[in-house]
Amino acid sequence: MKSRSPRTTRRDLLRAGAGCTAALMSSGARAFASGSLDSPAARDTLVLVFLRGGMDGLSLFVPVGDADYYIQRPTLGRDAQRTINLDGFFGLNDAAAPLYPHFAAGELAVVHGCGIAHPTRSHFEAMRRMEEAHVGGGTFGSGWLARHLQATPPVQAGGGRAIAIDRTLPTAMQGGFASIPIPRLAEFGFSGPLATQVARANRLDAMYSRASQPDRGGGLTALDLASTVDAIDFTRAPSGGAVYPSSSFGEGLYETATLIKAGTSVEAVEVDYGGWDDHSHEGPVGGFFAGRIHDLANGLSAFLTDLGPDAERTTVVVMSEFGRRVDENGAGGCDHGRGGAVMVLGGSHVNGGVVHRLWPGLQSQNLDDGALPVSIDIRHVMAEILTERMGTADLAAALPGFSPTPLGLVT
Amino acid sequence: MQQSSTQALPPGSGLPAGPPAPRDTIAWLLSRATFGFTPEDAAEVAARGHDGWVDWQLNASSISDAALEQQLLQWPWLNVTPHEALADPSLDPFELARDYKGVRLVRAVHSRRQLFERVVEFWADHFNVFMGRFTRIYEDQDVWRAYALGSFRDLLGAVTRSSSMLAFLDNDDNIAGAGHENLAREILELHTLGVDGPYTENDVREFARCLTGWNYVSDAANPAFGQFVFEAGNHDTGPKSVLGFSFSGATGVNEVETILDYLANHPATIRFVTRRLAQWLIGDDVPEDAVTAGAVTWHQTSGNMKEVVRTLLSKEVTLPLVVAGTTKFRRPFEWICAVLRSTGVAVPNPAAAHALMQRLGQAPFEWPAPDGYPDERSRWVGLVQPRWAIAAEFTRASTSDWAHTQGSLLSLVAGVPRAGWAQRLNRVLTGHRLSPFDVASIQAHIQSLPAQASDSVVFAEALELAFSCPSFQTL
Repeated sequence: MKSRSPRTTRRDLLRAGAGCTAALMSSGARAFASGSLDSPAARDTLVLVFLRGGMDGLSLFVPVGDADYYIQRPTLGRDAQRTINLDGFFGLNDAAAPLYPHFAAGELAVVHGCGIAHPTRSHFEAMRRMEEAHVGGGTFGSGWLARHLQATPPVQAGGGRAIAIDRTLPTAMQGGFASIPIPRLAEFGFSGPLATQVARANRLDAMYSRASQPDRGGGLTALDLASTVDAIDFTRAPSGGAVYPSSSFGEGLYETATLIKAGTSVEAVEVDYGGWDDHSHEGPVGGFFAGRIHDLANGLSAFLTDLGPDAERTTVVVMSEFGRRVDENGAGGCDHGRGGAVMVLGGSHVNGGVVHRLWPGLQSQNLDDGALPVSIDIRHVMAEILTERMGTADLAAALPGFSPTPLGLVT
Repeated sequence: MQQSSTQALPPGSGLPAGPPAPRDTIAWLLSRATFGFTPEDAAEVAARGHDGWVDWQLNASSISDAALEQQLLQWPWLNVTPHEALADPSLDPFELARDYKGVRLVRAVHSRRQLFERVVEFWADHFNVFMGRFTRIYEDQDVWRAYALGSFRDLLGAVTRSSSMLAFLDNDDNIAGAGHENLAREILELHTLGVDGPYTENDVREFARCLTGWNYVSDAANPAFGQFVFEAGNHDTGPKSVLGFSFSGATGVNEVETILDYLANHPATIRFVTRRLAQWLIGDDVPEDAVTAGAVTWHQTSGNMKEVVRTLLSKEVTLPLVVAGTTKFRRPFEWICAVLRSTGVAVPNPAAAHALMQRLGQAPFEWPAPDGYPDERSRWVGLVQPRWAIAAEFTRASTSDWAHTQGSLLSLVAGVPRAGWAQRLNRVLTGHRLSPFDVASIQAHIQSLPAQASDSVVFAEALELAFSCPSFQTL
């Protein structure tokens, strides 16, 4: 990274206005935020939801039309009356019913049997490969989203480009520009005595500008976003009567919607959801899994409702490192599998109401060592969203060595 | 030697000619082998020599830790059994869990057995358990601390029998005819051979069958609640084939012990664990030579971790790294430890310590996956804002939890004029490891403040910047 381009961040405002009051600074930052709304966003905000642990796609989008499903899962298998019919073959687990209106309205597309084209069944290897979009030997050492951001000029010069609502930066965002983790946006800002706030921020700016990477990027992005995020009201009431679940996932989505509505430089937000490693007592009906997908569905539904018109410039992708084996184990759960269910949500640009699949059938001989095979490479999904919605300048840099075929998920 | 290394440097590289100054090797060693530099520790290294100090620290039990032990006595719940804890109505499970996490910070900051604490921290991630179902992770005292500098085989065995690990990876649900692979997979992938190690999916499933019946006493009314129990009735007694071993099914608990014997000193395990340990102690881009040196010691000592650590931190292995000037990014826990150790400020009460670590992003026992808190630089460099915020509060003692006052911190620069404060801070906080530009920036800030401002106000500004600047974030 060479010298940073001119920009109108809070840090510049701080430089210009040494000694200014807090009120002046926040009005300056607001001017910055509203200025970006005047120029229509050239691309979406991408919201990544990574379900850590291996979400059992077969228990969320249930293949009720495949008789072998009930043979492989004699106790976990749901009867068709307890699912909501999606297309005659798949039923939506009714614990996730809040997703149905969005599917019916064409705002939700599902890709089943989707994942990373590598046989690993390790959580950590599969996550790394999915987030790096890497199937070969060794490692890329950077995330797919990070490489997109690296190859693609920002919508507006300066400012943070990607945020993970988390303690650490996920692999998808590693190695890119202006990407940091922020555990809670509402608590983010620059503190200390007001009288010296400008001077101290400028000193940190100067010192981090001299540091080597990636430390420099981390510090400078934190300074940039401290001004942007500090100016946003994280106590606003959700729009459209949306009610977020009172979970950390719901809170993360509320903060994300608030950020999107404020119109900032941020192009991508990741909100992770852990706890999907259902080796035992999975409970797809009335149990642990049912509780999680209920929270997931409520959160995503509230998010789209709250966004309202801003959903037209937002694309959500929900993924997990793998699905789970088709056959249930003896402990009321399922061990690590391969193909999972990916969701794409947003406004009218999503060609929803469809479950994309190349279904092999769930007879044992059609499976990949007991698991639903990966029949659709998740890089097709990534490529289409980067191309159609994120204005990627160099898809080959984001997804090296891959020739994508659009699935028609988004327009 | 001195001349040839001087000649090897490109002109104008700015690197010091010849071997590093003793004060730099001492500061480097303390940055890795302790939770934060203090001038007192530097004097100790100078007196004992590099390898002598490491040897002294490795014989941790011979180092008197009376002050810490006295401090810990105020929390008698540290030594109650799980059964006693549940039976005692004065112990609230939520508060117990929170305070137990807080005590980790007390030990890391105040123990004189600093290298031992560093190794405990490593095992806490290598054998990570999440404090979910339990109000305490008993391993901290009974497993990691008991075996941290002992035989890896003993440590691995104790972890595999520990109630927290058995519960965390659901092995209480892994019973004959109704098994699952969770614990078996992570022992192979995370604890021993590594994800690229020589095992197959079939090995995972067969090893899981060996682990059936490995459980803990789950009846809270039983005084043995939480202790390991092998439930023969839940053990799969069928024949098994795993990692080249064949079991008839009649050997019960010994199947797993046989596999652990094999895994503990397997070359893949040695390489994988030694590399992780070397990265933890030395830095991200650990040279292959250092890993090899550690692995050779592991082979020669059958996994005596005290000797492996001695090799990795030996002057011979580490000197080239001091010369190369590679750095490691402090994790949040390391950062707050360094702040407290360098200022001599006591850890606040366990509840406040826990809240502090949560704000920073790294509270003990709160990483939910079995791989432990990450150690990679790129995962943490963006999370500096919480440090800046806490530095701003700490240096002014502006929240009530602290045991110091804004004025008391001035003792760090006692007798030094303002014009020398930044240099003084560089020496006492890090042993001269801040960057020259950062030191100059801190001094420039001091000079920019009104001359009539009080010493304590100006010093708080300087100290805040010292804890917030980029070179304090690295080891």
